[in-house]
Amino acid sequence: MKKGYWLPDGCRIRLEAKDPLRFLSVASSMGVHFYDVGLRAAEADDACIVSVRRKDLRKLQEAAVKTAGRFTVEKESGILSFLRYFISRKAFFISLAAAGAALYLLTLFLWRIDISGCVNRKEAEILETIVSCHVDYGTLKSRCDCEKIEEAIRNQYDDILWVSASVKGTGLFVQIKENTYLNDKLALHEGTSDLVADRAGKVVGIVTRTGVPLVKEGDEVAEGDVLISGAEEYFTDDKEVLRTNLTYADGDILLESAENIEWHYERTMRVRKYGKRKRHGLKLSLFDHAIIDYQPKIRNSDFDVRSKAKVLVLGDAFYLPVDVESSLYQPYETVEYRLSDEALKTYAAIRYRMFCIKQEQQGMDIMEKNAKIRFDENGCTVSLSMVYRGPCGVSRPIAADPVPEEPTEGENG
Amino acid sequence: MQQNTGIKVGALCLELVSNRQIYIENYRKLIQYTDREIIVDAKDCRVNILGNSLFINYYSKYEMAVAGCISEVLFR
Repeated sequence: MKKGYWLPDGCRIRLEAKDPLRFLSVASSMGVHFYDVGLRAAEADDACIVSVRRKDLRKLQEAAVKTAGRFTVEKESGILSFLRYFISRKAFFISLAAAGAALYLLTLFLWRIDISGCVNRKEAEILETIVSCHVDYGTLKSRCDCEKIEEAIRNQYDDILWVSASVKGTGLFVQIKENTYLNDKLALHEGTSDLVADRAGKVVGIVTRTGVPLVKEGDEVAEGDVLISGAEEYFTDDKEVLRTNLTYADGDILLESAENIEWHYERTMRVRKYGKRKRHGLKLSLFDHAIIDYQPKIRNSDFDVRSKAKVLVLGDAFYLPVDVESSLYQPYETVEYRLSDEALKTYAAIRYRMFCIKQEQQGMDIMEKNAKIRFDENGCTVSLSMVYRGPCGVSRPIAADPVPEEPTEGENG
Repeated sequence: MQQNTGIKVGALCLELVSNRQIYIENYRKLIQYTDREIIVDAKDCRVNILGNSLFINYYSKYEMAVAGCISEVLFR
């Protein structure tokens, strides 16, 4: 059982009477509750130390009269006694009021701008737009017009479908939703372009959306060959080119390719061996200015640094302009290991599996694969021959025809 | 058939938690209190609590909580 009760208005008293236990019995019968009843004081048999609530002191006085005893308050505890102690000190109340005023002042400003929902757009771009609305770190909240921010972001970026800006506590929270589908198309359809093969192979499927297909199923193509042309030519009845309309080429092409890949893995492997001794760094910033910036000095050794930054926040959204960044410095030594054939084979197998998974994630369908491993003195070589099917085609801008220069007057004359 | 247990209203009530803690209710007064023995007087008996490092955590008119290493509880 735990010893020591925490009483919000408690005090530790010393009871002195001819029979302290009788004092306790009489006082308890009057409704006094005792806590942490100490043994008789060492220096005197007729005294013991107990804790009582402050409101029970009056009853205790009555009990003391009845039992011809007395008591003295030795120590007061709890928040009420703390306040009672400071009630006559002006400096305490002045500093309390100053702290309250400082907190109130801090609540009037924005100390955090949180942007979420960015996929293709960078947060820095959105932040620039917000700053252009005269809203920045430390701006008065009353000057922050959320509707203006929303409108500015919507006007600036066409690909943002939905934007919401709200002030909560001392933070400005901006949520955006991008049209990622449109972004992909815009990237593909900027200007006029051909769709060219990014690798050699055999066409096994083609669907054209815009442009003129130059290949058909079963054709063999080389890397860089135009698959779908962005130049749409219109012919007359005499098969003469009437005009050429330049557009962007778009379509889905499935290509079957055969590829031979070779990887070489060294037998010696460098691994970082971390020491047991870790060092800590601390950076404290107030109003975006570093006040404390302690970084340990590590000599004759390389080290990794892992940093964790935190913004001081009261409650959910009352952000304060205080940033604390703690860093962990971990010195290490680079150790060279020489792998055995078995270990090297396992390592190569893992890398090979990772490569296959990556290919599948890119939409490649591996039809055939054949891997061989050769060991030598320095390491091993993995030869992989595989046949795979997958989407193909990258946009290549159509080079505009040079505009003939008009002859100048000097040349004519 | 209900058996008559002979328990009276206001009888001493003890609740022992392991040998570390004991709650006492309906006692009359505390007769002795040392770190090795606590004697409590009740309506119809007297209880001796023996042990080491005995300490009264809470004491009021109706109940008392004693902590420490309790070795024996004797009724007299």
